[in-house]
Amino acid sequence: MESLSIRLVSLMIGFAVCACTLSGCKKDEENHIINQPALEQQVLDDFVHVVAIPQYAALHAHADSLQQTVNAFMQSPSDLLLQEARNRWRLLRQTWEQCEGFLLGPVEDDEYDPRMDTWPVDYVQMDSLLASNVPLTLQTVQQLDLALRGFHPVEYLLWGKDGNKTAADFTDRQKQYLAALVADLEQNTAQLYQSWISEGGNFAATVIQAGQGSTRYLSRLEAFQAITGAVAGICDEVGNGKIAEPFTRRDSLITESPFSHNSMQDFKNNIIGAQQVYLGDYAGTDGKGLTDLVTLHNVALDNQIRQQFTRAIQSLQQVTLPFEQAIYLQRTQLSRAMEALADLENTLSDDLQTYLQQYVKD
Amino acid sequence: MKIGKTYWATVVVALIASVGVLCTKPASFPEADYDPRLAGGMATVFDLSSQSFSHPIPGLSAWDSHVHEKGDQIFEQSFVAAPAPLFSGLGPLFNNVSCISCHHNDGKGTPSFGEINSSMLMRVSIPGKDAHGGPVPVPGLGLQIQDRSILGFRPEASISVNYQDSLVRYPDGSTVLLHVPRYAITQPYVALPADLLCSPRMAPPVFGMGLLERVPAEEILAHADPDDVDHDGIKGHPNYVYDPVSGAQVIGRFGLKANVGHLLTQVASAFQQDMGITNSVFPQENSTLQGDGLHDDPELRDSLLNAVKFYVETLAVPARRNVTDAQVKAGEQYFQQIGCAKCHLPTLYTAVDVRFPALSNQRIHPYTDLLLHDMGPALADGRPDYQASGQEWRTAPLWGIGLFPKTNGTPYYLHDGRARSLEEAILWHGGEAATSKNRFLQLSSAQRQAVISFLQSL
Repeated sequence: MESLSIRLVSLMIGFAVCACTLSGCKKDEENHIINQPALEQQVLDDFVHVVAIPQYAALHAHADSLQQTVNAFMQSPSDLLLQEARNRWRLLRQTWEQCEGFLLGPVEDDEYDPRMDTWPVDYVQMDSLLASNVPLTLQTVQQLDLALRGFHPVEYLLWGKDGNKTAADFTDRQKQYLAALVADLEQNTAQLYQSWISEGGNFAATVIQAGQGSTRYLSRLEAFQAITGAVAGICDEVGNGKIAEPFTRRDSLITESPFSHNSMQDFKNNIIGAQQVYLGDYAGTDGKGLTDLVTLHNVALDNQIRQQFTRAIQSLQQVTLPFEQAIYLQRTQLSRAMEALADLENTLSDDLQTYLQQYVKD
Repeated sequence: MKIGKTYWATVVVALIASVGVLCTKPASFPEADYDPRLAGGMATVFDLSSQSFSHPIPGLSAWDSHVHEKGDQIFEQSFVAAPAPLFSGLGPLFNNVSCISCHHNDGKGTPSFGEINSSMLMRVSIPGKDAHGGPVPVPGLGLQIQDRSILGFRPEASISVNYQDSLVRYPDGSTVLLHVPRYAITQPYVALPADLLCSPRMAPPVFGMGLLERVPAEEILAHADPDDVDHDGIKGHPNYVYDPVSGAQVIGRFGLKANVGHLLTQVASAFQQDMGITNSVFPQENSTLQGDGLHDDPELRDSLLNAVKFYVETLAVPARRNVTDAQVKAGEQYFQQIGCAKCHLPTLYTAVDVRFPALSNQRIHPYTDLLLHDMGPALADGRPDYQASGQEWRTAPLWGIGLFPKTNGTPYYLHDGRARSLEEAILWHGGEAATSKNRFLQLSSAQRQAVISFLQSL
């Protein structure tokens, strides 16, 4: 009897010790959990207010300034103003390609991407449009097929097929078409910006209220997965689509911005845009990004992702020729860039998504 | 001796039983042995984002992945007027410029006509049957109205839709407004015949097609009950359609009236009818009156046609969510009890196909029987299509339906997108589904919400 009760007592002590240890562990975990939801919320807030909305605002501002330059060119065409319009097109293009780092929400739901960035240019229809009597106004341009609207028809008009167009080469119809196309771009970027802000469509709230009444994202995890999916998606598209396709077929006809030779810049800006989302930083503002979330539990993964972003951008910078020439003359550099993009994309869509599933519990 | 006999008898019975077990099909494993999230069996992917319909089936080889990727690019590519160095052949008459313009994120789209993001088209015919038993084309218009054209050509007509509200009142007093569509065809290129038959249709999702194509015909026929032998008010019969690829009558699986038998035919017909891009299956332009005058047909290379067919064939099915949620589980029971599952069959099996392990011999949950059912006058288009009467539609697969708000921004349901919510979609059901719909009306508000939650988990 005695020995039994001793055993019982020691068993109970044992349980008590175990229980203490367990509760100790739990407390430790709870400390993490208490901080994490606030950080998660901050990451979503900063994605909206530091990265997405300011970029769409910049996009609209650049479209506006392109429109002003084109209007000035309409009044008094000169090679100087033409050059200025080209520069402003490149600036607008740069912001747009960076915005492609997060193709989710209105840009996707309401088809802004195809409305602004369809390619290739439809030469046959463009020639018949310019040769016709159809009035070239904002209204008529907005009725046209997608391949007759957006960045690339503007690019074609500004540079010409061989990239050496002068102000004197412009016909009246071309000028009218250019002005209408640019007005269309201006309107699309204004609407896209409006669709995010609280005074407009307020997609911002859909993201920020993830897990708290958002109809789109039923949890913060869903919002993070969508953002990560978009970031991984653009890396995939640049590596496996935009570069791989012309590279594999050795065909300079199927490049995206062929008239301005801007394709390499486009690719680089796509990845910079994705990187900005990951870091939560834009235009000098240092917000909280996915990086801060990953650092909580897996510093090595965060290091890996940041290094892979840097390597992907650097490898794109190693291509010094225009893409149309590089697919013949800088194949090694392009191969390396595609490899770097594939590595990055794998880490984002496998490791980062797994990490989020494991640690974001809301 | 007696004991010995019993012993041997037991052994023999046990042996027979074990042989029986060895031969048992996966179907008879207990339900609990399966993971209910695996809507597409092995061909299931886990993604909750707007891209959840856009993933390849797992386990594709490097080469197959390459072909899938190629098909994906062409699916997303805007085509341009011929002659052009790239992606040539759009029009001259068409409904939209790329596959993705209508099948938004590989899913459904927007129920409007003639806009850049419109996913609607109008099938037309005149009464009667053609040589193969199919609908008779309208002289000058064919079987589908192309409501857009490249510059210099004229669209076959303009189509518009407007809606009127119709009130549905539940026995508990709560109400729902249904959106009743009215379609108008104006500015026709040729005079419209007095007996014109029209069928408005919205582009359906395109994932899981490889699985549905592999459901054996016997499996589909096993669920048919054309004479309502079991007197449950639900008939269900297959469509048999002419397939131009095989040159034979085949069982219809695809299209909102199951009027297409094979994926290649579906894809080739969408290229030719919806985009005006001729191909080896349909080498003629879609308009007899307004040809492009070029001798470039077929405009689409076979390798690209096949890549797009391969793409939709190898698009995986999104996994179900919240399957252990109590409300979802309750909703699933009501779904069964009120008879929805009689047509929206939860489980089908695919045939063995050694070429694609992820599609082969899979237990899948498409929530369709692939059969035609009378859906009542409210949903009727009045336009027969092979064996499908003007009141019959193919049971729509429900897999992925809970993800429409994600893949499409604003979700729309039913064959022409008239329903703006799952509840509205249920309330539109009639004909063979009238009994189930009426039972749904009788449910309490909480029970109805459970059914909706179940549908949202698909």
